Amino acid sequence: MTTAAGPVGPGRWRRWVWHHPEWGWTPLCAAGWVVIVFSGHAGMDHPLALWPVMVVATMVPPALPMVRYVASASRWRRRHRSAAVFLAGELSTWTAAGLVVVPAAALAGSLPDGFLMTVGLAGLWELTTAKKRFLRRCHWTDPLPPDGWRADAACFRFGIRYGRDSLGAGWALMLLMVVAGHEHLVLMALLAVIAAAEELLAKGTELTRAAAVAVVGVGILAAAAT
Amino acid sequence: VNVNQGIPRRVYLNVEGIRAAHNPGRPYGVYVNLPAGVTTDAQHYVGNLSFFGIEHTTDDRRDHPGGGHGGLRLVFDITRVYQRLLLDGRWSAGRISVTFVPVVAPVAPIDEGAVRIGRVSVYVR
Repeated sequence: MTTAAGPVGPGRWRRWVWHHPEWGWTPLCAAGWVVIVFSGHAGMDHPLALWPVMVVATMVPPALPMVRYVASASRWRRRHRSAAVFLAGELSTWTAAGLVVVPAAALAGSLPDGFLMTVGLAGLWELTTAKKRFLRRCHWTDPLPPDGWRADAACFRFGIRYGRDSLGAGWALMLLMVVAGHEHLVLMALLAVIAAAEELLAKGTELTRAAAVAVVGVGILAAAAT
Repeated sequence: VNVNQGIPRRVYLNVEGIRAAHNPGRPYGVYVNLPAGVTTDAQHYVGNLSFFGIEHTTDDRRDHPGGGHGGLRLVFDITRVYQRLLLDGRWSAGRISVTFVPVVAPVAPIDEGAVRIGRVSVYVR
């Protein structure tokens, strides 16, 4: 008896990797969290130095669907490059925002009730219409040329535009994360989960009230515990 | 896009990032490789571009069904048109023109510049 050997296609795991190029960026987020946790133990926790690491750890996960869109809208051979250029645009926007957010956090930290005031600000921002508008815009995609320098420029512009909207939606949570610092790592992780959920879920705008309650509730608990 | 590298099973024309503050009020016929000087030709026709609901796709004040992606996106299956034009020798290698022609004459002056198309591309598989 003979069997005809047909062409062997790519395996399930390989196909999954092809369809989800965005997951290749998750180790970067994990590395960011490792640095955040251990920098506190090592005493290397200057907020300005830690800001870019916080940005990578907390703002790459919400951007993963956009990374997938950018990769799939590009020519196959340059899909990872397009995703990298997009993330460079997004992360540079957030990194630049650190020049305002970090000093603001330092100011809040120097006030007697600065932590609670920041908790209240983050909770209030969750309830604003502006927050919802930024969140909706985070789901918008920009058309991208498939190849060449125009593709690089468009990916970077898209990254900056997405980063701007993401910043508008999440600046108050990030401010609270910086104020919380290593003293409240659990709160920081919770805020990162909230920021990611609001952007990742199709109806993230419906989460904002619950997010406001969670932010204020956990923030008050964290303040009481210290 | 050079679709002459092998015979594709399906060919799609993808029109995305269509944005406008308001509906221009008339649909457009979409044609591929329309000869110069010809305004309509059924052999090159792939479908209609309708702007119904376009003003909601860039409205960030409220949630909309489908989530909203910052513009309309339409995909036309142009496999038959492609095959026909290829057989007739009217499919130029690696070069495709796409023409948008108003389906009906405007009843009032229309600002054509009000509609922007982000990207037109051809997908083959």
